[in-house]
Amino acid sequence: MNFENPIVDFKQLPQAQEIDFESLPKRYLNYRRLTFSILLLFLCGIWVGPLIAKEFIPAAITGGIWLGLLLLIFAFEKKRYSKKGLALREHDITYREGVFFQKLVTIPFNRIQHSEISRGPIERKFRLSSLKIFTAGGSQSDLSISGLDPERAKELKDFIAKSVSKHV
Amino acid sequence: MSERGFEQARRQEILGVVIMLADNIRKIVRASLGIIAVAVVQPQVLPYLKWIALGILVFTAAFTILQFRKFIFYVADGELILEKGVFVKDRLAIPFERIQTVNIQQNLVQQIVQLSGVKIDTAGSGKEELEIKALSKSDAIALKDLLQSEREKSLPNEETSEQSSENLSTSEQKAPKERKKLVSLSIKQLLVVGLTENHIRSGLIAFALLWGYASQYAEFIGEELESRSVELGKEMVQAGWYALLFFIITFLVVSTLTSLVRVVLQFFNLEAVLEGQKLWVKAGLLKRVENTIPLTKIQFIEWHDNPLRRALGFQSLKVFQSKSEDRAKKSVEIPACFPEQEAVVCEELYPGLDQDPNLLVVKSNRHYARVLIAFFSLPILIISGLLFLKMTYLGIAVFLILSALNIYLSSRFVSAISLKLGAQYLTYERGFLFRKRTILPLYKGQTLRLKQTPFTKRRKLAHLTFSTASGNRSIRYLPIDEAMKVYNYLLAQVEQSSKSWM
Repeated sequence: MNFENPIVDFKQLPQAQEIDFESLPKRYLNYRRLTFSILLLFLCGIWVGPLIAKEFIPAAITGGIWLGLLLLIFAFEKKRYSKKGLALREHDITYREGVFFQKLVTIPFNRIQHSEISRGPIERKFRLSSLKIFTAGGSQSDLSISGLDPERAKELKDFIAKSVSKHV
Repeated sequence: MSERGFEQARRQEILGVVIMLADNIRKIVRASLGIIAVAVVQPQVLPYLKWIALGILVFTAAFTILQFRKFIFYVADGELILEKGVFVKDRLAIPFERIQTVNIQQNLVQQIVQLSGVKIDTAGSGKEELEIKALSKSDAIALKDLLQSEREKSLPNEETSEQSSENLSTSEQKAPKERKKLVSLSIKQLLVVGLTENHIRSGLIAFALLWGYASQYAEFIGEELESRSVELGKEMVQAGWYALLFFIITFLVVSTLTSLVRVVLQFFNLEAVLEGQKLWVKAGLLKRVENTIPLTKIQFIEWHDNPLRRALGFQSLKVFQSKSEDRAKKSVEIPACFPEQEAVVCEELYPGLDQDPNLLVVKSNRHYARVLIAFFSLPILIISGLLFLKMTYLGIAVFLILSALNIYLSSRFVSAISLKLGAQYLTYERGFLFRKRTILPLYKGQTLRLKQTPFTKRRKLAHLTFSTASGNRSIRYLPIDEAMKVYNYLLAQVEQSSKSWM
């Protein structure tokens, strides 16, 4: 038996923590901000609207608080956007996200079953697509990336399809 | 293979009518449990019920005969074709390459009429039951062999693209279908297995099932039960400690009996045999289930034990295989392996495991223990606080005992977690009383995930999750640098591998 037992230098391995991530298109940030604005303005409208005629000052203060909340969400979304990123290497795709709860996911191409592009109505207005990557053995190990440029999503899907077929 | 004539459309064995009838009656009884429950509570319905039951029986029998006559199966053009349906005709064509596993099963009725069922699991995620219920034993085996060999023929890439399997297939040709018995269980061993089950768990499951059944028909029997249970509650309060003791003893007896019965039903006359490149596990008293697992489909194995079993020197084995979506987590269990059997199983399933060098051992950080202690402290505080208000000293004593137990168990639990990275295998051990050991060949890995919360980030810790085609395992509170080493190493191994993994 030809048995070898070299010492593994873990530093020599490709390092997933040192990849340069590409960020998503700026439109994704605007899309998130708009959806939140609509939601918050709607809630604020039901809450504050009936009050304005009767008690103006409390209504204005409440409205101000809602506005402050919205600004906070805007800032958070910006931070969240800057943390989101994906990277392709020759053999795998890596995705990271999360401001407080951070997540790093890597799927080797030779373990991908197939991928799927989907677009919601508002996403379509912003020219955005979502890419979903499926692996075998239950939905927990799948990966979904939203807010991609449609062309980029198509490219990724084709790239994945090509790499997957190479491995089968 | 054609001498069995599966190419010609044909029906099942004639006694299949009995099997299908039994099946239909079982389904009807199950669906009408609610009505039966009503009849028990309100006896004035009983006289009618007899006639209704008779009517249903006659109708079912007629329906079953039609159903039997309309059920036709054959093999054509690389597909297994099933035609069935009494009122609406249904034609199912299953291409061979989509067949995942073929299992032979015998339930009680099938055993009585001496016929076998063939169950087919496909890659699609449909819940449709594909089963030919009544074949003679030899036909069942022939059909199974036919489907499996056709399936392998329809996937030619798998064998040519891969060098290692070429070696395997040549060695297989030299020694055609070598049978090697791995494990078999005698009655005595079976009883030992039953007695050393996790009784608390099976007790809870039994009660949950009872509760589930009861609450399903709650609207029918609800009021009755409620008034009775209120009385029962009052009596229990009066009886006090005796009632509690009685309840605990009842629970223990019921749990032990449940696990004993379950184990005997499920694992009676268990045999695990290695034949060629397949693992067979056959077991069951009323329903004999025969599982065939091609070795390449095994994703990982898991050894389980508990203090009782450790004392008696055996552990149980779970084999996880890649399966269709809805049953992806299902595993095949061999409930008892003694050390020598363990050695054989490991050697056969995972060659080279005992020589696998330890490249890296990662342990959960002790911070995890602090998190667990804090988590369990709250209920302990509430319980002992409530006691403290009534009986001061008892409250203090309970608090001290539970807290000590909490600290001891939490730290033992955390220090038992370890992840060993070898050149070919990953071994993940955890559990202090109920130990589990997962062994994964590195190239079977899939998605890798690393999660950090603000708290773990500050302490340079992370949670690592690895996925396989048969489910995920997460290891919590690992030092981030070490976790990253495992992450990168596992990825590199998966990406370099060209072996077929499912």
